[in-house]
Amino acid sequence: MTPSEMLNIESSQSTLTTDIDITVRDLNFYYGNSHALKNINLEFGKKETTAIIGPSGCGKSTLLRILNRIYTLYPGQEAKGEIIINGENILDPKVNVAALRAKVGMVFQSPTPFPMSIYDNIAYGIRLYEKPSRREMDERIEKALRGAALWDEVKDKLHASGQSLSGGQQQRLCIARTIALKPQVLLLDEPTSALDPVSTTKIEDLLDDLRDEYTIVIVTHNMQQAARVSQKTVFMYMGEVVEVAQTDEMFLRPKEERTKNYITGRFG
Amino acid sequence: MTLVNNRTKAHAETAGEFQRPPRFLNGEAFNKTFKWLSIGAALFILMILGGFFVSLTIGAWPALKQFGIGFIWTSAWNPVTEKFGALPAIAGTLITSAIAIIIAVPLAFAIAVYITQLAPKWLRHPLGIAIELLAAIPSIIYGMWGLFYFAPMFADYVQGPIINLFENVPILSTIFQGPAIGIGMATAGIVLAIMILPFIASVMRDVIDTVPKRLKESGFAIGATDWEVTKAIIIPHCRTGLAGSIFLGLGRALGETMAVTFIIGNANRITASIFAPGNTIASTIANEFQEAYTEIHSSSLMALGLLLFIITFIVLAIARMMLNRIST
Repeated sequence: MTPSEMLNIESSQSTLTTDIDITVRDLNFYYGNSHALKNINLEFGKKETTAIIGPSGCGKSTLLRILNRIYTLYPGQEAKGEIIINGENILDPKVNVAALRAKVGMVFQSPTPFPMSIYDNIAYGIRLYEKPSRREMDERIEKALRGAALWDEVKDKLHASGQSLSGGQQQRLCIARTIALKPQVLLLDEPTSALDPVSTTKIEDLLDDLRDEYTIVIVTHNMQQAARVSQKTVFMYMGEVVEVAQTDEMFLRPKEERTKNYITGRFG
Repeated sequence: MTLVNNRTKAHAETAGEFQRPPRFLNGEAFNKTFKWLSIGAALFILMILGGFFVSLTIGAWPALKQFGIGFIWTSAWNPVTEKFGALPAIAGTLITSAIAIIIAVPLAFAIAVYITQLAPKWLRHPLGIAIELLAAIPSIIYGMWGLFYFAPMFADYVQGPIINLFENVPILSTIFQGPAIGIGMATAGIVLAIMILPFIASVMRDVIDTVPKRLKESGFAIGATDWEVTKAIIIPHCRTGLAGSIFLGLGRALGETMAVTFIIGNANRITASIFAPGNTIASTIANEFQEAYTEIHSSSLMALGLLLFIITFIVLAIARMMLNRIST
C-alpha cells in the first residue's frame, strides 16, 4: 500500500502559488544548553495552511512557540536567527510582544477557556486592545463565535461559564477568542489531540473554512489530519527540517527516505 | 486416586513452606492491638477537642448563667462590681485582625505571585524557605520586638505625622486620634500582619501553583501582561483557595496572644481611634487569669475563651473547606 492510498488523498489538488507571510531564516533554538532547532529555513504562505509533522520531540511545537514568542515566558530559552513577519524581525527584543501576539494568535493542545463567561472569554482579549461600544462588542463577539462555528450552540447562554462547555466547544471558543483579535496568523498546537473524533471533525471543518482568511500553521501528530487540512507540509526530525512540500506531493511522493519511513508509520 | 492424594499432600507441604515462623510481633494478637492503638490515638484527638469544648463550657457556665447572651454585647469589665461583658475584647480582636488582614493579604498575594510567576528559578526556592522560616519565629519574639523596637519607631515616624496630618479632617481625625505612644490596636494589627504573612503567602503560593501552565500561556498568547493574566486568569481560577488562605491567616490572627498582649496597651474600652490602646479576647485572658480571684471573674474569662474557641473554630473550618476544594 502506498502512502497515498493509506491516507486516501486525491492527487488532483492544484499547486498553489502564494505570497509569503512568514519567513524563517537560519533559526536556531536552545533550551539552556540543548540545541533544539538547527538552522531552520522556512516560508509560510499567506492564507495558506501549513502542517508541521514529525515524531515527538522533533521540535515542531518549539518552532510554533517561537512564532509568537511565547517561549520568552521561560528563562533559559533562546532563539537566534530571523523570523520576518510584515517586514519586521519578530525576534528583535524591541518588538512589542502584545502587539505581535494579537497578530499571531495561538490555540493550545488542550482547550484553555478563561475562568469567565463565554462572552467575556472573547471580550477580554478585545478589551486589551480596543474600547468598542457595547453594540460593537456584541457584534464582534457574534462574528467571532460564528467564525468558530460555535454561535448556534452558545447564543442562548453567552453568560454561562466558558468552562461549562464540552471539550470540543471549549476548543472552538479558544479559536473564537483568537480570531476575535483579527489576527493575521493562527498557530495551532495539536488542537485536536485532547478531543473526541466528532469534535475533531468539527475543528477540521472549521480549519477548512478559516483557511481563506488566515495564514495557518498547525502542528499535528496525526498525518491524516495534516493531509486533510493543509496545503503545505513540513516534516521535521531531530530539530531539523527534513522536507517541505505541497501536502499531496509529500504524501504521494516523499523525496526523503526519512519522510517516507515516517509517513508510512515505520518509525515515530 | 493415588494421584489426587499425592497432589493434596504436595500442596499441603508447599503451604507449610510459605508460613512465617511464629514471632511475637507478627502474631494475630499483636496486629489487633496495633490496630486498636492507632484507632485510640485518632479518637484521642477528637476527645481532646470535645474535652476542651466541654470544660470551657462548664467553666464559663456561671458567667453565662448570670450575664446571659448579653455577655457578648456588654462593654463593662469590672472585677470590683463584678460586671463583665465581652464587647471591648471582641471589638479589639476584630479590629486588630482586620488591620492585620488588610495589610497582610495584598503583601502575601504579591509575594506568592512573585515566587510563582515572576522570580527567576534560582530565587524561588530560597524565597520559599525564607517565608517558612519567618513562620517559625516564636510569637514572644514578635511581641518583644514590637514593644521595644517597632512601637517607639511607629510612634515617632508614623503615628505622630498621621495624627497631625488628619487633625482637621472629619472622620479621619477620629480614626487616627490620641497620643502617639506607639502601643495600641494599630501597632498590634501591624505586628499581627507580619506574623500571619508567611502563612497566607505560602498557602497562596501552593494555590497559585495549581493554575495550569497552558491556561496562563493562553492569556499571554492573546497579548495580556503579567498583571492582566494575574487579574483575569489566576485570581478567578483560584479564588476559593485564595479566600481559604485568607481565612487561615484570620484564624491565626484572632487567636494570637503573646505578641498582642505586649503591644496592644491592654485597656478595656472601645474607641473609634485605631491608635488607642485596646484589648483582645486572648490578651484579656492572658493578662487577668492570675488575678481572677472571684468565681465570676474567672468564669467570665472562661466564657471569653469559649467565644474565641468557637470563632476560630468556625473560621478555620471555613478555611479548610475552601482549601480542600482546590486540591481535589
